[in-house]
Amino acid sequence: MSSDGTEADSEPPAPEDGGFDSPSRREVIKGAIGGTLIAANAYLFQNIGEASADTDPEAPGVRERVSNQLKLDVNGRTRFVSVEDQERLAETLRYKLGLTGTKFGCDRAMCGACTVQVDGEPIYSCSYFTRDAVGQEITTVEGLEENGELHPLQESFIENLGGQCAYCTPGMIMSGKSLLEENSDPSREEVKEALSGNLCRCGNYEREIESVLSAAENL
Amino acid sequence: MSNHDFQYVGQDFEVPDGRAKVTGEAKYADDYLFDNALQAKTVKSPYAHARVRSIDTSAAEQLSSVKAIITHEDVPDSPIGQPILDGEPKTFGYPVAAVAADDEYAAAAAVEAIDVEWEVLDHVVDPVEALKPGAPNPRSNGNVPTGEAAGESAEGQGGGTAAIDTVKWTDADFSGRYPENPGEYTLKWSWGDVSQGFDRADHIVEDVVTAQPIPTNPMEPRSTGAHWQSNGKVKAWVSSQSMSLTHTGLAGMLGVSPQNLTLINNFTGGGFGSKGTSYPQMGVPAYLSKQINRPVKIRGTRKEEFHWGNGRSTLVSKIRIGVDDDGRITALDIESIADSGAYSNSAMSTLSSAYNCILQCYQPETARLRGIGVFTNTPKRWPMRGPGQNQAGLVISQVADMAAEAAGVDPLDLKITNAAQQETDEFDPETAPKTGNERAPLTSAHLGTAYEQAAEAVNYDELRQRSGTREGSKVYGVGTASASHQSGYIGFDGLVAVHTDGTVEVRQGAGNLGTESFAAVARMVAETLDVPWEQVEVSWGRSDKSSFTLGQFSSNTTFTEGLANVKAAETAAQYLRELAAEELGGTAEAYDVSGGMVSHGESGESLTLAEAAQVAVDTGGKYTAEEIPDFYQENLVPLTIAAAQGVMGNSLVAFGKTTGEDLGGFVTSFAGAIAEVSVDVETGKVRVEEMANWNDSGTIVHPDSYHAQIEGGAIQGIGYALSEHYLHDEDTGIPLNTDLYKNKPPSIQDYSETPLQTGGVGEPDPFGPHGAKGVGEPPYGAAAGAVASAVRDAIGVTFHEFPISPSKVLEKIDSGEADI
Repeated sequence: MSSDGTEADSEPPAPEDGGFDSPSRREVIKGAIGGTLIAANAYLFQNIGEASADTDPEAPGVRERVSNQLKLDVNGRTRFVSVEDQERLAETLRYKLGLTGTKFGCDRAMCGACTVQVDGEPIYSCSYFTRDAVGQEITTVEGLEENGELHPLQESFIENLGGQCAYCTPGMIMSGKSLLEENSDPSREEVKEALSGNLCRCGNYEREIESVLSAAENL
Repeated sequence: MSNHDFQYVGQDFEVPDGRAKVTGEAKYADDYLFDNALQAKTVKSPYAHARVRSIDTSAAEQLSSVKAIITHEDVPDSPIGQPILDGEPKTFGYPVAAVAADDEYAAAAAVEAIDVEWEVLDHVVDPVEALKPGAPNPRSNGNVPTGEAAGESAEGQGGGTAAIDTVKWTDADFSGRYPENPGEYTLKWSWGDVSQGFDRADHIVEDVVTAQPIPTNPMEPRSTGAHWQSNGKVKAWVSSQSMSLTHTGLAGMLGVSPQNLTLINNFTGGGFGSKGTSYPQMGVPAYLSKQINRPVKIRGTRKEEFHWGNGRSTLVSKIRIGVDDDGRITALDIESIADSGAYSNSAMSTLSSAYNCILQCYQPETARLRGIGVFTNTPKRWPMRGPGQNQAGLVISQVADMAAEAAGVDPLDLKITNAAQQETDEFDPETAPKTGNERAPLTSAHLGTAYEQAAEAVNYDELRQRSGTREGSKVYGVGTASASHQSGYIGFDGLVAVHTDGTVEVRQGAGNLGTESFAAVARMVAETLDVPWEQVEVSWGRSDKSSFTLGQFSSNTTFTEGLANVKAAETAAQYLRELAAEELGGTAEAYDVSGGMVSHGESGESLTLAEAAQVAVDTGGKYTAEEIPDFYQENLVPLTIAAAQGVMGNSLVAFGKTTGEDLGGFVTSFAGAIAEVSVDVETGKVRVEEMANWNDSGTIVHPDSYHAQIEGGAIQGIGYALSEHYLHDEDTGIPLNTDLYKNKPPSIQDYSETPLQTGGVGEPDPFGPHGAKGVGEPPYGAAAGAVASAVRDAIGVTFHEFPISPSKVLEKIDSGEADI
């Protein structure tokens, strides 16, 4: 991979959404416009939000009460973020918090590329309102590394070539993590069941199964 | 296996992009975030074929969030291929205008505010229908692409020559599955006297089988970021399989020189052919950005993949096979109709690729192959993983089984008897199996061995015994099939640098599409230079560090890009020897490059690569590319020389160039597959119980990715046979199944009841880098064909259309056609 100095800024201003192909959503979209424009500058307050979190992480601050900001627990950190009513968790994670490991593959809870954990449960973050995650622990693929150590699932996905194009890999890993937290010694069939909500168009399923099974051995 | 004693080739290793893929660090096009980016959305045609009378953007322009609007009049036209925006959209959902606004919500609102006045035109979505007299033409200037088939090397590039004509089969009878008394064909191949071949045959079988169209559906929809700067330079963050051809293709689309376009593409979320080169979703944000010089992003959606993406072509084939009593094919006569969709002339290439596959796999004594490609008002139908070849693998497998039955031989024996299998250890162009209308010799061919090894892996005799038996409502069947693909080209560039810290950097030009072939290229360089793997770095993902190569399609990277960079490594080794001789004395030939050292064979005096690279820098000239030898000046693509910027003058720099002298035949990879299925005669559900899928892909460079490619190809092939399809409503041309749960790419529960068994023959190709050929495409067609063959074997009825859905199975059972 080549580094590229101009490639990315971590805190984008605009909330995003997609899948506006269906005419039935037009009214929803039009209704959303007003709120979006108000929110467009709210990211400017994020640093303030985080600063207040440092001093009093639990109490709802002034910022939350007046600025449409929510307090989210993401990968063990408190993050304040301005959120639309209809905003989906994947949007917030990707475009507000810069956590782009969580992918959009279908926008419609069909493919699982957006799988994250909310209070330990795997959910499709493309179809989960950010507001519903308030007060719960949100874990994304970026939150698995601890003190520079990869999670055993991450290690085994590297070792077993668990990702080809790897667009589905973060979601696969999150589903696998949810399984192993409930069942540390799963059978092949149990692994297939746990990953069955995650599509892999490369057809790399044998390696994804093997990655989860071998991670279980190394837990 | 090969006799070579390899150190790195053939061993697994940790891939250079593995960590980024599991931590979320891997950046795909939409993962690049910008402070001041705008979001693009498009105004799409609600008709399958229409003409824009007028576009009123005034209301959208009034919206304060809208920063740029373009229409089809603001972008270049494209004679046949996909224009960025089309004033005469030829499929449902093709865009005619685009907006850039502050965010996606605002962009969507702006799209709603744009009024288009349409002139609705007639459409046709069925390729056979398009040939009927009186049927509408899918394009206003015709229904048939003509001109040369570009063939497999042009995947993603469209056809060889662009021409359009109107051909109607005025005297044909369209009442059957294939038109009787067909009219003109635009592709005609033949050799030998096919009628004499049929005379020699003891048995003749004939049937019509249609391989269906499907969308490619990579997990990552087509997203792009583009920044057209005010100084005229453009930077684009794209999702492409390839680097070099996407770079030059997009430069052409934007009307800028490649040197003024930098492409960033570190990761790609799947392409399977459909992201082989530039595509219109790259042009939309770029042209919007040109107006305002701010970064513009377009986030592709799943639904767009179904009408603005592309997929596999329909192939309707009437196949007639003559065999003798031993199962040898004496004559093969095929007529086909293939579909280009609306926006490419590639149906010609679908035909030529399909016919090459059949000729490669079945080596008939005589053949006559005819076909015509047509347009339809459906998405571009080229390319997708084995475009043509894998339809061919599907359409012929059951007909070959019919021939085996007629001759009284086992279907696997018939397929092995006719398979491309070289008779000599060494390449012999005279006796080598042949392909194409020109009867080109295959550089290596071991399909028979692949079949035999697959048969051993699954215990074919046991499966044959179980064939036709019933357990409860399940009936078992076993099937066999093969597919092939041209998988190696010459004429491309390599670039290897040895830095003064001893690092060997491979500035290869392959895209990162998920196959790890770019890493295999570096692995082969390590082998050639005999340098410890830890010292090798491979760069990828940006155009200004990429030596020029073919696109990452056609299973060709391992051969094409591998060979070009192995040649660069050979040049580097020669430079290192010369420099050591200069520094330490003696002749260059007296030195060996091995273990990261340049050592004199007798005295043992040596330089490390770091020291030798420093000598190169001190010496300059050709060693650092400050002077570029004539051969390279004349033959390298200028972009390759540009890619040496940054190392020129401060590292040892070596180029590679593959030429006609490097190749003496047609490089072809093969796969042979054997599947056992169970068919539930009550529910109609087909399950693949077991499958072995074996490749002839030359030397295996990286076993993990080799097997992953075969597994993935097999799973996609199973999906092709059993579940996937494009569905377009005939009356409106609207795609009907634009969701994954309706379109049904295989899930983890859908492909096989037992782990797939995969393997490789491993015999080296005489021209391949370290004997390697490509891998990825043939396992797909072999899997699809083997499943079809197995279902036919289980219930005794040929399936003429796919996918073999439960309802199709039950129809065959309810009608009494099935033998259960």
